[in-house]
Amino acid sequence: MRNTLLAKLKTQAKTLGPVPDSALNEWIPKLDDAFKGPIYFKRGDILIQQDENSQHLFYLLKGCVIESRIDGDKNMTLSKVHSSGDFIFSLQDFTTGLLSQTIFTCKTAVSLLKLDQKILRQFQKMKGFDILFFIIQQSILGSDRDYTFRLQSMSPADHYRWLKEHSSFITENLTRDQMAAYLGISRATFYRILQKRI
Amino acid sequence: MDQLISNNLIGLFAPHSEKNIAGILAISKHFILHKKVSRKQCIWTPGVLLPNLYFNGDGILAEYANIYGKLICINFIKPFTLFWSDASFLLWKDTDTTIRALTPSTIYQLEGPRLEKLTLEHGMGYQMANALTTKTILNFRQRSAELCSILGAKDRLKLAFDKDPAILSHISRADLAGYMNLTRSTLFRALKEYYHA
Repeated sequence: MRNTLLAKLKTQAKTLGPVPDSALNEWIPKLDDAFKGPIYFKRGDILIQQDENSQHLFYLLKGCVIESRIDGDKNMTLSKVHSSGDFIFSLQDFTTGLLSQTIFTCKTAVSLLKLDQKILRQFQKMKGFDILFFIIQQSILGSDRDYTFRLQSMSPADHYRWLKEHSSFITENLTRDQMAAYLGISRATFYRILQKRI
Repeated sequence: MDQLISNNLIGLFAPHSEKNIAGILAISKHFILHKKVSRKQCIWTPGVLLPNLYFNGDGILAEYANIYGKLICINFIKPFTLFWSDASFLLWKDTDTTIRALTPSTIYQLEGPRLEKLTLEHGMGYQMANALTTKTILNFRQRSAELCSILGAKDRLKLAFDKDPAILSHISRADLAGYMNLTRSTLFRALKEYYHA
Protein backbone atom coordinates (compact mmCIF):
# COMPACT_ATOMS: atom_id res chain seq x y z
CA MET A 1 0.00 0.00 0.00
CA ARG A 2 2.85 2.36 0.70
CA ASN A 3 3.78 2.12 -2.97
CA THR A 4 0.90 4.51 -3.60
CA LEU A 5 2.77 7.15 -1.59
CA LEU A 6 5.90 6.72 -3.68
CA ALA A 7 3.90 6.76 -6.89
CA LYS A 8 2.09 9.91 -5.82
CA LEU A 9 5.30 11.76 -5.03
CA LYS A 10 6.98 10.62 -8.23
CA THR A 11 4.00 11.57 -10.38
CA GLN A 12 3.71 14.96 -8.75
CA ALA A 13 7.47 15.50 -9.01
CA LYS A 14 7.38 14.87 -12.77
CA THR A 15 5.44 18.10 -13.18
CA LEU A 16 8.30 19.98 -11.55
CA GLY A 17 10.67 21.08 -14.28
CA PRO A 18 13.69 22.39 -12.39
CA VAL A 19 13.73 19.88 -9.51
CA PRO A 20 17.00 17.94 -9.56
CA ASP A 21 16.52 14.17 -9.79
CA SER A 22 19.25 13.63 -7.22
CA ALA A 23 17.20 15.39 -4.53
CA LEU A 24 14.16 13.26 -5.27
CA ASN A 25 16.15 10.04 -5.49
CA GLU A 26 17.68 10.78 -2.11
CA TRP A 27 14.54 11.95 -0.33
CA ILE A 28 11.75 9.72 -1.58
CA PRO A 29 13.23 6.51 -0.05
CA LYS A 30 13.99 8.41 3.20
CA LEU A 31 10.44 9.60 3.40
CA ASP A 32 9.11 6.17 2.55
CA ASP A 33 11.13 4.73 5.40
CA ALA A 34 9.97 7.36 7.89
CA PHE A 35 6.24 7.00 7.23
CA LYS A 36 4.84 4.39 9.64
CA GLY A 37 1.75 2.34 9.06
CA PRO A 38 -0.74 1.58 7.80
CA ILE A 39 -2.64 2.87 10.84
CA TYR A 40 -6.37 2.30 11.01
CA PHE A 41 -9.08 4.64 12.30
CA LYS A 42 -12.81 4.14 12.74
CA ARG A 43 -15.54 6.37 11.36
CA GLY A 44 -15.92 9.38 13.67
CA ASP A 45 -12.37 9.23 15.05
CA ILE A 46 -10.55 12.56 15.28
CA LEU A 47 -7.13 12.84 13.63
CA ILE A 48 -6.36 16.39 14.76
CA GLN A 49 -8.38 18.38 17.29
CA GLN A 50 -9.18 22.07 17.03
CA ASP A 51 -6.56 23.99 19.12
CA GLU A 52 -4.28 20.94 19.15
CA ASN A 53 -0.57 21.39 18.58
CA SER A 54 -0.16 18.71 15.92
CA GLN A 55 2.49 18.76 13.25
CA HIS A 56 2.28 15.13 12.16
CA LEU A 57 2.09 14.53 8.43
CA PHE A 58 -0.42 11.91 7.28
CA TYR A 59 -0.82 10.25 3.91
CA LEU A 60 -4.33 8.95 3.38
CA LEU A 61 -4.36 5.48 1.84
CA LYS A 62 -8.07 4.81 2.04
CA GLY A 63 -11.15 6.58 3.33
CA CYS A 64 -12.46 10.10 3.73
CA VAL A 65 -11.43 12.79 6.24
CA ILE A 66 -13.07 16.19 6.62
CA GLU A 67 -11.42 19.35 7.87
CA SER A 68 -13.94 21.63 9.54
CA ARG A 69 -14.24 24.49 11.97
CA ILE A 70 -16.98 25.57 14.32
CA ASP A 71 -17.03 29.30 15.07
CA GLY A 72 -18.29 31.11 18.18
CA ASP A 73 -21.85 31.16 16.79
CA LYS A 74 -21.69 27.38 16.25
CA ASN A 75 -21.65 27.82 12.48
CA MET A 76 -19.68 25.13 10.68
CA THR A 77 -17.28 25.86 7.87
CA LEU A 78 -15.92 22.89 6.01
CA SER A 79 -12.63 23.84 4.47
CA LYS A 80 -11.55 20.57 2.95
CA VAL A 81 -12.60 17.01 2.19
CA HIS A 82 -9.64 14.65 1.91
CA SER A 83 -9.73 11.34 0.06
CA SER A 84 -7.22 8.59 -0.71
CA GLY A 85 -3.97 9.91 -2.10
CA ASP A 86 -4.10 13.18 -0.13
CA PHE A 87 -1.52 14.46 2.33
CA ILE A 88 -3.13 15.66 5.55
CA PHE A 89 -1.64 18.01 8.09
CA SER A 90 -2.56 21.15 9.97
CA LEU A 91 -1.26 23.76 7.55
CA GLN A 92 -1.80 26.51 10.10
CA ASP A 93 0.20 24.75 12.81
CA PHE A 94 2.85 23.44 10.46
CA THR A 95 3.67 26.75 8.80
CA THR A 96 3.00 29.33 11.51
CA GLY A 97 3.38 27.38 14.73
CA LEU A 98 -0.13 28.51 15.76
CA LEU A 99 -2.54 25.89 17.08
CA SER A 100 -4.75 24.10 14.59
CA GLN A 101 -7.89 26.09 13.87
CA THR A 102 -9.65 23.16 12.27
CA ILE A 103 -10.69 19.68 13.34
CA PHE A 104 -9.90 16.63 11.19
CA THR A 105 -12.59 13.94 11.45
CA CYS A 106 -12.72 10.52 9.79
CA LYS A 107 -15.96 10.25 7.83
CA THR A 108 -15.38 6.60 7.00
CA ALA A 109 -13.05 3.87 8.19
CA VAL A 110 -9.62 5.20 7.33
CA SER A 111 -6.17 3.75 6.76
CA LEU A 112 -3.18 6.03 6.58
CA LEU A 113 0.56 6.38 6.88
CA LYS A 114 1.93 8.71 9.53
CA LEU A 115 5.15 10.68 9.67
CA ASP A 116 5.76 11.63 13.28
CA GLN A 117 6.26 15.33 13.96
CA LYS A 118 9.60 14.76 15.71
CA ILE A 119 11.06 13.11 12.62
CA LEU A 120 9.45 15.72 10.42
CA ARG A 121 11.10 18.52 12.39
CA GLN A 122 14.48 16.80 11.94
CA PHE A 123 13.82 16.47 8.22
CA GLN A 124 12.96 20.14 7.96
CA LYS A 125 16.42 21.04 9.18
CA MET A 126 18.05 18.82 6.55
CA LYS A 127 19.10 19.99 3.13
CA GLY A 128 16.77 19.03 0.30
CA PHE A 129 13.61 18.29 2.27
CA ASP A 130 12.12 21.63 1.22
CA ILE A 131 11.79 20.23 -2.32
CA LEU A 132 9.63 17.38 -1.09
CA PHE A 133 7.55 19.73 0.99
CA PHE A 134 7.08 21.95 -2.05
CA ILE A 135 5.75 18.96 -4.00
CA ILE A 136 3.29 18.20 -1.20
CA GLN A 137 2.17 21.82 -1.04
CA GLN A 138 1.70 21.96 -4.80
CA SER A 139 -0.86 19.17 -4.67
CA ILE A 140 -2.71 20.96 -1.84
CA LEU A 141 -2.66 24.27 -3.71
CA GLY A 142 -4.06 22.65 -6.87
CA SER A 143 -7.07 21.20 -5.08
CA ASP A 144 -7.75 24.30 -2.94
CA ARG A 145 -7.62 26.49 -6.03
CA ASP A 146 -10.10 24.25 -7.88
CA TYR A 147 -12.53 24.30 -4.93
CA THR A 148 -12.41 28.11 -4.62
CA PHE A 149 -12.93 28.52 -8.37
CA ARG A 150 -15.93 26.18 -8.26
CA LEU A 151 -17.43 28.13 -5.35
CA GLN A 152 -16.98 31.35 -7.27
CA SER A 153 -18.26 30.23 -10.63
CA MET A 154 -21.02 27.69 -9.99
CA SER A 155 -24.42 28.01 -8.44
CA PRO A 156 -24.79 25.71 -5.38
CA ALA A 157 -27.09 23.41 -7.38
CA ASP A 158 -24.58 23.17 -10.26
CA HIS A 159 -21.76 22.68 -7.78
CA TYR A 160 -23.63 19.82 -6.11
CA ARG A 161 -24.31 18.24 -9.51
CA TRP A 162 -20.63 18.63 -10.41
CA LEU A 163 -19.55 16.96 -7.15
CA LYS A 164 -21.92 14.04 -7.71
CA GLU A 165 -20.36 13.51 -11.10
CA HIS A 166 -16.68 14.18 -10.35
CA SER A 167 -16.15 13.68 -6.59
CA SER A 168 -18.90 11.33 -5.51
CA PHE A 169 -16.98 10.38 -2.32
CA ILE A 170 -17.93 13.85 -1.06
CA THR A 171 -21.65 13.62 -1.75
CA GLU A 172 -21.75 10.03 -0.47
CA ASN A 173 -19.93 10.63 2.83
CA LEU A 174 -20.96 14.06 4.06
CA THR A 175 -24.07 14.64 6.14
CA ARG A 176 -26.59 17.12 4.81
CA ASP A 177 -25.40 19.80 7.24
CA GLN A 178 -21.81 19.25 6.18
CA MET A 179 -22.78 19.25 2.51
CA ALA A 180 -24.60 22.57 2.96
CA ALA A 181 -21.50 24.03 4.66
CA TYR A 182 -19.27 22.74 1.85
CA LEU A 183 -21.49 24.39 -0.77
CA GLY A 184 -21.72 27.59 1.26
CA ILE A 185 -25.50 27.57 1.70
CA SER A 186 -27.95 27.12 4.53
CA ARG A 187 -29.43 23.73 5.38
CA ALA A 188 -32.85 24.89 4.15
CA THR A 189 -31.44 25.92 0.76
CA PHE A 190 -29.65 22.58 0.45
CA TYR A 191 -32.90 20.71 1.21
CA ARG A 192 -34.62 22.68 -1.54
CA ILE A 193 -31.88 21.63 -3.97
CA LEU A 194 -32.34 17.99 -2.94
CA GLN A 195 -36.11 18.25 -3.40
CA LYS A 196 -35.54 19.22 -7.00
CA ARG A 197 -33.99 15.73 -7.38
CA ILE A 198 -30.77 16.81 -9.00
CA MET B 1 11.70 50.55 -4.93
CA ASP B 2 13.92 47.66 -3.82
CA GLN B 3 13.29 48.68 -0.20
CA LEU B 4 9.53 48.25 -0.76
CA ILE B 5 10.12 44.92 -2.48
CA SER B 6 12.36 43.60 0.29
CA ASN B 7 9.82 44.67 2.94
CA ASN B 8 7.14 42.77 1.04
CA LEU B 9 9.30 39.68 0.72
CA ILE B 10 10.27 39.74 4.38
CA GLY B 11 6.57 40.04 5.30
CA LEU B 12 5.65 37.07 3.08
CA PHE B 13 8.64 34.94 3.76
CA ALA B 14 9.20 35.60 7.48
CA PRO B 15 12.88 34.62 7.17
CA HIS B 16 14.44 33.19 10.28
CA SER B 17 18.10 33.37 9.33
CA GLU B 18 20.58 36.03 8.32
CA LYS B 19 21.37 33.98 5.22
CA ASN B 20 17.78 34.28 4.04
CA ILE B 21 17.62 38.01 4.76
CA ALA B 22 20.78 38.50 2.69
CA GLY B 23 19.13 36.47 -0.08
CA ILE B 24 16.00 38.60 0.03
CA LEU B 25 17.99 41.82 -0.18
CA ALA B 26 19.85 40.47 -3.21
CA ILE B 27 16.61 39.33 -4.84
CA SER B 28 14.98 42.74 -4.26
CA LYS B 29 17.84 44.49 -6.05
CA HIS B 30 17.41 42.40 -9.18
CA PHE B 31 13.85 43.41 -10.00
CA ILE B 32 13.77 45.43 -13.21
CA LEU B 33 11.16 47.64 -14.84
CA HIS B 34 8.84 45.38 -16.84
CA LYS B 35 6.36 47.90 -18.21
CA LYS B 36 4.15 50.84 -17.47
CA VAL B 37 0.52 49.89 -17.89
CA SER B 38 -2.45 52.12 -18.56
CA ARG B 39 -5.99 51.38 -17.42
CA LYS B 40 -7.37 48.08 -18.81
CA GLN B 41 -3.98 47.03 -20.20
CA CYS B 42 -2.99 43.40 -19.58
CA ILE B 43 0.13 42.27 -17.76
CA TRP B 44 -0.38 38.67 -18.80
CA THR B 45 -2.97 36.56 -20.57
CA PRO B 46 -3.61 32.78 -20.43
CA GLY B 47 -1.41 30.22 -22.14
CA VAL B 48 2.09 31.54 -21.44
CA LEU B 49 4.75 30.09 -19.15
CA LEU B 50 5.71 32.97 -16.84
CA PRO B 51 7.47 31.63 -13.74
CA ASN B 52 8.31 35.19 -12.70
CA LEU B 53 7.84 37.28 -9.61
CA TYR B 54 6.25 40.70 -10.17
CA PHE B 55 5.93 43.84 -8.12
CA ASN B 56 3.06 46.24 -8.64
CA GLY B 57 3.76 49.98 -8.43
CA ASP B 58 1.15 52.49 -7.36
CA GLY B 59 -1.81 51.17 -9.38
CA ILE B 60 -4.51 48.60 -8.74
CA LEU B 61 -4.66 45.36 -10.74
CA ALA B 62 -7.36 42.73 -11.09
CA GLU B 63 -6.96 39.05 -11.95
CA TYR B 64 -9.57 37.28 -14.06
CA ALA B 65 -10.06 33.59 -14.74
CA ASN B 66 -12.22 31.84 -17.26
CA ILE B 67 -13.80 29.20 -15.05
CA TYR B 68 -16.27 26.72 -16.50
CA GLY B 69 -17.03 29.19 -19.29
CA LYS B 70 -17.43 32.28 -17.09
CA LEU B 71 -14.89 35.11 -16.96
CA ILE B 72 -14.70 36.02 -13.29
CA CYS B 73 -12.67 38.51 -11.30
CA ILE B 74 -10.86 36.33 -8.75
CA ASN B 75 -8.33 38.60 -7.11
CA PHE B 76 -7.12 42.16 -6.67
CA ILE B 77 -3.52 43.28 -6.45
CA LYS B 78 -3.06 46.24 -4.15
CA PRO B 79 -0.50 48.99 -4.81
CA PHE B 80 3.09 48.21 -3.83
CA THR B 81 2.65 44.46 -3.46
CA LEU B 82 4.25 41.40 -4.99
CA PHE B 83 2.21 39.16 -7.24
CA TRP B 84 2.70 36.04 -9.34
CA SER B 85 0.80 33.61 -11.49
CA ASP B 86 -0.20 30.70 -9.24
CA ALA B 87 -0.31 28.39 -12.24
CA SER B 88 3.04 29.44 -13.70
CA PHE B 89 5.15 30.46 -10.72
CA LEU B 90 4.00 27.82 -8.24
CA LEU B 91 2.58 24.99 -10.33
CA TRP B 92 4.87 25.41 -13.36
CA LYS B 93 2.14 25.31 -15.91
CA ASP B 94 1.05 27.90 -18.44
CA THR B 95 -0.79 30.91 -17.04
CA ASP B 96 -4.54 30.35 -16.79
CA THR B 97 -5.60 33.85 -15.79
CA THR B 98 -5.46 37.40 -17.10
CA ILE B 99 -4.09 40.29 -15.07
CA ARG B 100 -5.33 43.71 -16.06
CA ALA B 101 -4.73 47.20 -14.67
CA LEU B 102 -7.73 48.87 -13.07
CA THR B 103 -5.68 52.04 -12.69
CA PRO B 104 -2.36 52.97 -14.36
CA SER B 105 0.65 51.36 -12.76
CA THR B 106 4.31 50.48 -13.15
CA ILE B 107 5.22 46.80 -13.10
CA TYR B 108 8.60 45.41 -12.07
CA GLN B 109 9.66 41.82 -12.59
CA LEU B 110 12.26 39.25 -11.69
CA GLU B 111 12.44 36.39 -14.17
CA GLY B 112 12.18 32.83 -12.86
CA PRO B 113 15.64 31.57 -13.93
CA ARG B 114 17.27 34.64 -12.36
CA LEU B 115 15.33 34.10 -9.13
CA GLU B 116 16.30 30.43 -9.10
CA LYS B 117 19.97 31.37 -9.51
CA LEU B 118 19.78 33.90 -6.69
CA THR B 119 18.09 31.50 -4.28
CA LEU B 120 20.72 28.89 -5.15
CA GLU B 121 23.57 31.35 -4.58
CA HIS B 122 22.19 32.26 -1.17
CA GLY B 123 21.41 28.69 -0.13
CA MET B 124 17.70 29.37 0.18
CA GLY B 125 16.62 26.19 -1.62
CA TYR B 126 12.85 25.96 -1.95
CA GLN B 127 12.13 27.88 1.23
CA MET B 128 10.83 30.92 -0.60
CA ALA B 129 8.74 28.79 -2.97
CA ASN B 130 7.30 27.03 0.09
CA ALA B 131 6.53 30.30 1.87
CA LEU B 132 4.79 31.78 -1.17
CA THR B 133 2.86 28.55 -1.77
CA THR B 134 1.69 28.47 1.84
CA LYS B 135 0.62 32.09 1.58
CA THR B 136 -1.31 31.32 -1.61
CA ILE B 137 -3.01 28.28 -0.06
CA LEU B 138 -4.04 30.32 2.98
CA ASN B 139 -5.39 33.06 0.66
CA PHE B 140 -7.50 30.50 -1.21
CA ARG B 141 -8.78 29.08 2.09
CA GLN B 142 -9.75 32.53 3.26
CA ARG B 143 -11.52 33.21 -0.05
CA SER B 144 -13.40 29.94 0.09
CA ALA B 145 -14.42 30.68 3.70
CA GLU B 146 -15.73 34.07 2.56
CA LEU B 147 -17.60 32.49 -0.32
CA CYS B 148 -19.06 29.83 1.97
CA SER B 149 -20.17 32.37 4.53
CA ILE B 150 -23.94 32.22 4.78
CA LEU B 151 -24.20 35.93 5.52
CA GLY B 152 -26.72 37.85 3.43
CA ALA B 153 -25.56 39.76 0.37
CA LYS B 154 -25.61 43.12 2.20
CA ASP B 155 -23.41 41.85 5.04
CA ARG B 156 -21.02 40.22 2.58
CA LEU B 157 -20.81 43.48 0.68
CA LYS B 158 -20.11 45.37 3.89
CA LEU B 159 -17.32 42.95 4.77
CA ALA B 160 -15.78 43.35 1.32
CA PHE B 161 -15.98 47.16 1.47
CA ASP B 162 -14.50 47.20 4.98
CA LYS B 163 -11.62 45.04 3.77
CA ASP B 164 -10.73 46.81 0.51
CA PRO B 165 -12.61 50.11 0.24
CA ALA B 166 -10.16 51.76 -2.17
CA ILE B 167 -10.06 48.80 -4.52
CA LEU B 168 -13.77 48.14 -4.76
CA SER B 169 -14.47 51.70 -5.84
CA HIS B 170 -12.45 51.03 -9.01
CA ILE B 171 -14.15 47.90 -10.24
CA SER B 172 -17.23 47.53 -12.37
CA ARG B 173 -20.46 46.20 -10.88
CA ALA B 174 -20.19 43.12 -13.12
CA ASP B 175 -16.71 42.34 -11.79
CA LEU B 176 -17.84 42.89 -8.22
CA ALA B 177 -20.81 40.54 -8.73
CA GLY B 178 -18.45 37.88 -10.11
CA TYR B 179 -15.95 38.36 -7.30
CA MET B 180 -18.66 37.90 -4.67
CA ASN B 181 -20.51 35.19 -6.59
CA LEU B 182 -23.75 37.19 -6.59
CA THR B 183 -26.07 37.81 -9.48
CA ARG B 184 -26.05 41.38 -10.75
CA SER B 185 -29.59 41.98 -9.52
CA THR B 186 -28.74 40.69 -6.02
CA LEU B 187 -25.66 42.91 -5.98
CA PHE B 188 -27.69 45.99 -7.04
CA ARG B 189 -30.22 45.33 -4.28
CA ALA B 190 -27.41 44.86 -1.74
CA LEU B 191 -25.67 48.07 -2.88
CA LYS B 192 -28.91 49.99 -2.58
CA GLU B 193 -29.46 48.66 0.95
CA TYR B 194 -25.80 49.28 1.84
CA TYR B 195 -25.85 52.94 0.77
CA HIS B 196 -29.21 53.57 2.42
CA ALA B 197 -28.23 51.93 5.70
